[in-house]
Amino acid sequence: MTNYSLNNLASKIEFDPVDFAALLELFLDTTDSDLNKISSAIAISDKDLIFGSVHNIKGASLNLGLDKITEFMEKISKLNKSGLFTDIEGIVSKTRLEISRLRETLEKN
Amino acid sequence: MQRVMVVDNNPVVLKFMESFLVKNGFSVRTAENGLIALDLLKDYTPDIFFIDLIMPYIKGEMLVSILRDREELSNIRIIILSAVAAEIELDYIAMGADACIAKGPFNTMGKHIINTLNELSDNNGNNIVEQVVGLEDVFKRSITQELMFSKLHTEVVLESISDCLIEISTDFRIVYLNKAALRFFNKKQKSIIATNILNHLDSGWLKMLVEYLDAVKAELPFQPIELNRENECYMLTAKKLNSSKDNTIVLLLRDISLEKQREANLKNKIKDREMMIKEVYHRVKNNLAMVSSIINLQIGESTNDIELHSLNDLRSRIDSISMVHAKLFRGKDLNNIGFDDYIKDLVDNLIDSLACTESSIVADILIPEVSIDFDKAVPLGIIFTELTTNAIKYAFSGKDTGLISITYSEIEDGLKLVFSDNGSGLSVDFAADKAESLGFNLIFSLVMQLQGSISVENKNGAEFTIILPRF
Repeated sequence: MTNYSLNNLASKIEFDPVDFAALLELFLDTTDSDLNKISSAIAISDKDLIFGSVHNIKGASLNLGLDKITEFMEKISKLNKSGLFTDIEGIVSKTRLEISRLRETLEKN
Repeated sequence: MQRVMVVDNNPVVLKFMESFLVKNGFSVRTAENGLIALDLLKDYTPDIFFIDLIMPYIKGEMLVSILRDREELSNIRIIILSAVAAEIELDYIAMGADACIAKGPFNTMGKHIINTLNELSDNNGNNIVEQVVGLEDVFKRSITQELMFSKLHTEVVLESISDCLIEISTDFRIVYLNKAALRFFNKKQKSIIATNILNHLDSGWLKMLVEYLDAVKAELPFQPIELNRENECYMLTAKKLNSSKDNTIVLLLRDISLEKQREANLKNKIKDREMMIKEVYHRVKNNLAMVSSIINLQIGESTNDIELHSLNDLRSRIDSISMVHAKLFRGKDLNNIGFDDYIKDLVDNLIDSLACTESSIVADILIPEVSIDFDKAVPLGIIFTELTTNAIKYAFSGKDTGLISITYSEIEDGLKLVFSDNGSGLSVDFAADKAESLGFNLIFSLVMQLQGSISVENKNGAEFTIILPRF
């Protein structure tokens, strides 16, 4: 399990930790909504809705250098392509866990 | 200071871009979708646009096209800033953009933004950047590419349908329309996207449309509506699409002018046919009246009592058939007549024409309002003509007054019609099925034809009970 440090995360993309924290907070807030959309889309096997929400999360996680979340989104993309919707929920749960750990890191600072 | 507008639906990107560009000496405005960007242009004219491609409402490509069409923005530089640049082949120059940067980690993306802005400002600002910038920082993802093609396939299908498909925001601004809708509005896509749909529709439709769209927006129960203009007719169906943030309404406008024209033609044909049938009833009635008049003339010539008797009976039978045609001609229904009215008129006419002036015969007819079709009306008319004629001629001889009663009731297996008089009654050995007169033979055979039965009794006069299947 990855132990996050706000300073390390910020320095990875050459950001000031304060500026990075503001962006990370925004990312965490919007990602919750997109993860909920993915969960709803799994129930109705809506590939396009999954694609749109994964695209949002993946873009922002790539911008912020959050590689683990980018990797999860890549996995969801592959499963979505193959129509393996039931397997996506497991990755969504892992992403939620990662999001909560990032939130804890943010709150500690 | 150069003015920049960043259009992207990702709040993280917007926050970064604003902060980054301000630090680098630019004035910045941000918009989370194309509609907001177009609104901001009313009081802010940027020199440079950064535009994402995949956004709600208006897509980035369409936004570029709209901006390029505006005279006041002829000198702007447009930079596509998109994650899909790393995932599919983008012809951003054909779109009308000057450069394209693939989204990646913010530190490298920031450097690419500065480098691209510098490159665009070289050569007096006339050059474009011909390669997607920043691809080396991201890895190519074929999965997204395939899903993008799947999305494009859906769009191709929507573009090929003959119904008009229009997507509008909840403040009624057009964000998407297919080719059929463009033909309907007779406008170019970039001149109509982001404008209010009500500005492009027939002014006579507005009140109904606003009410309808408000109902759709509020998700109230509603039915599709018909919109008419000149010789055109359209059926409009709408559905609100709910997402967590960007709700839209999808309108499906179907041209039903041809169906309406066919329906009108069919109605006209039915009307013509009805008029023709009425004309036939009218002519048959007139011809029967002519036959009746000829018989009447023959009656005037005749001196033989037996012949007179037969001719009078014949005329009454023909008149009863003529009356059915007269009622069908005058009525609204081409196949049915009111049984109650028919029998009342028939009996009254017979009493008027056959009863002696000295005697007073009255009819008490208790039939509710029921309809009867042509095929049953004629034989029943003849049956009641025979029964009434017989009663007038024979039942009340020697009496000053007479009463004829007809009742109608529904029974378990069908209908019961009772004809009775308070006359002298039938002979004790009378049997309807064995009677030798033409009149009773007619009655008996017509009751059989109607799949019914008849019985006769003497009850303070003659009483005939006819049981028939339901009308």
